[in-house]
Amino acid sequence: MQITIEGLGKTYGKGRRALDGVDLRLDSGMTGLLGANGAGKTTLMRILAGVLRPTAGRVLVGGHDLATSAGRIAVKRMLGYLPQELAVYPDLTAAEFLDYIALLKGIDDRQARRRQVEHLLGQVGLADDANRRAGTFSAGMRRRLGIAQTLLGDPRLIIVDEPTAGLDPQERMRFRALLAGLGGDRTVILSTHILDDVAQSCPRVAVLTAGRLVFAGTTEGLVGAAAGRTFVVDSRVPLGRDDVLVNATAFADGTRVRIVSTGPPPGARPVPPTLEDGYVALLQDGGVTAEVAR
Amino acid sequence: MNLPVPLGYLPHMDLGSMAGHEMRRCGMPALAVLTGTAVALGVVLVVLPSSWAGWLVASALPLAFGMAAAMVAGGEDALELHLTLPTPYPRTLRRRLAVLVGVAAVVLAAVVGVLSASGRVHDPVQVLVDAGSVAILLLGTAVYAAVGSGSPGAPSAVVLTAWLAKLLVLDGALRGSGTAAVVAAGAGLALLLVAGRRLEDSEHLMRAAVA
Amino acid sequence: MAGMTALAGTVVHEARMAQRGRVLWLAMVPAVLLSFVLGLGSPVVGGLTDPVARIGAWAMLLTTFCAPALAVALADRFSRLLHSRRPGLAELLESTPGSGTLRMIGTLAGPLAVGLSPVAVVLAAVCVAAAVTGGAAGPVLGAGLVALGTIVVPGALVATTIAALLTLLVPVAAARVVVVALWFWSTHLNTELLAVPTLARTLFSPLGGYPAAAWLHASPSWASGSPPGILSPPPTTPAALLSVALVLGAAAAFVATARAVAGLRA
Repeated sequence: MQITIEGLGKTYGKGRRALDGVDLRLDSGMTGLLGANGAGKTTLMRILAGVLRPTAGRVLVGGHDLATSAGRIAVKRMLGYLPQELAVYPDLTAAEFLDYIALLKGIDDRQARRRQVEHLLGQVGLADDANRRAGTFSAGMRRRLGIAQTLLGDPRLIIVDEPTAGLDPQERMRFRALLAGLGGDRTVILSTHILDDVAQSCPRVAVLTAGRLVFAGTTEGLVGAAAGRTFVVDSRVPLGRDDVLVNATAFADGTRVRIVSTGPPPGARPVPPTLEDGYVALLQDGGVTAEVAR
Repeated sequence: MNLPVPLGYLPHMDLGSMAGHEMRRCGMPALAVLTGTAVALGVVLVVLPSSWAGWLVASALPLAFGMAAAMVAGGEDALELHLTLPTPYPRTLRRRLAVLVGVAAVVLAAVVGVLSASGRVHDPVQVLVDAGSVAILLLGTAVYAAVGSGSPGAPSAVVLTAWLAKLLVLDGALRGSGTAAVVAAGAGLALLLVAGRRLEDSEHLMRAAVA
Repeated sequence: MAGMTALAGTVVHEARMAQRGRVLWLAMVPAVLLSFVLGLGSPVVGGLTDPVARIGAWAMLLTTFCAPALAVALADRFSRLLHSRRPGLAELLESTPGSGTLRMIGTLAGPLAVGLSPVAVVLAAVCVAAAVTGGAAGPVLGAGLVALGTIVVPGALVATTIAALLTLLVPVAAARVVVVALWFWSTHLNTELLAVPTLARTLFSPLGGYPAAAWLHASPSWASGSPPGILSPPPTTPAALLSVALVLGAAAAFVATARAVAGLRA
């Protein structure tokens, strides 16, 4: 399924501009959506989910125009959506919660619903807790229940906002495997601050900064933005003004820092870049790379 | 232009399961409030004879109903998820309110029936009409205020004020005729209509929920 | 000292949040407007010629309708401390060193002050009107302050604290209905309507009939019953003081009970 976004803008009350002239085309497969807090990721995803209306531009999802009521309804029939904050009903068990959402998604066959609920609870590791009330769940379990409801109805379009927030490493790996196993012609948009999730799961990535799209392309392309600019250096070496510290690791003989730099300090050792380095390099360049989308 | 919606994914509802879920989402507390008020009122009026029994029933039960409606209309915690589901949220809310209206109708009829049988209420039809008109007014008020506030607290307070206004202003101004009932029901239906339109605006609902 | 700082901080910030939100305004503006319409059209309120008596009557009228509206709107204040809709907030607040009781008080006092602000505005307008139409400014201002401090605030306090306590014991929806029933039972129940014992026209009534009758020239029938009894003595100054103390004491007892219940449920 293809998503076409043209000149998308969203301005909230008091003139706060959340999105500004975003042009983007997403094809089937997984796309990671990156950006700092307040960059407009959640607004973009809410518009794609038909919750918010844009104040400028046009969005076509699988050929359906989200400016029309019919278009929004059509998209919702093929959508799985996980909001950033999902309050599950505390008085329902995990299985009952999924059964209810499945009904609202139009899965009217009782047996099919039960099969899907059981299957998805197993997929997210909640099979043993199917009959426990969601109110007694830990934050991670609630998040997994949210992920399970997203996949109800075998949606063609999956939009997940910070799906792995609050999950432990094992749960995160399970989630990534779950998404990777979906396959088919689904379009998956994954918004997260955990760059590792994107690096592991998404062949394509889009980056928003202050409501503007600053990168859209392959994940390797974003990693490549830091090629030849990623170094490891002893922490005692003074850094230049434009050097950006990515992380620091303590060793027995001292601390070494990883930096993205256009003019590395003396003694810096070049290392292969990661997605994190590429993201930092992109921000360092003010969001201009060879693969900037329009 | 929109492409045709794929067949086989249209929401034909499993009505039994859906009704069960909506009854729970409607909130057992809301239903219990309504039923509890009805039972308490019925018992009090049977034990303590009052020439105002009909008036008390036609006034107090709709207030409990209105408060419960405010709870149902303003108490959705998973609003953002509902706004992305193929079943429109207004339809879901209508189903929940229908459950509440059904329960209210049954308990009202039961209380009026008991009081009528015990000779406490002499004109049960009039009591049902009066209670129905106030209930429609308060239902409209509850839904309208809930759509504007996104929480059950303010709508409950507005329901209380609307109830007092009906008793103290409207009934006083239009004493001794059925006009007050017609005006109250009309106002309630108008509020429901306006609220229904605002319910279609998901962005408005999201704004109200975070305000 | 640190406790008082935490209390002041809670009051100020809760008031700020209440003032910015819609809930209180949506709840209070219709209640104040209804009181205003009824007061203007009522011969026993707007029709009074004695300016001080008029202020007392307005204060009781405003309390009658605004206190339960405020109580219903703020009913979930204490239960939110235990089960906040914002994940983690309850734990965060509980992890701070301040006293839970003071935090409870601040959680209620801030929004209460904001919610009563439109009531105070109407009362101030009534005082101005009374001063303009013949009352001396000093006594009128004094009457306004007495009305606010002994009728409006204690009535609103007792209504909101009992509503907030009830939400810790029964579901919020039930608490809202029960508090409305309790309010009108304790302030205005006409025993001809329903022959049940009532707190209305006794020292315990939160309507403020005693201070109104003792200090604001209101009719004694707002206070004592007929004939006067041990719980409904004639409205003298000591009786009015006792009535205000009882109402405030009841509010304090509701907060203390709520704190104990919250402690048990935490």
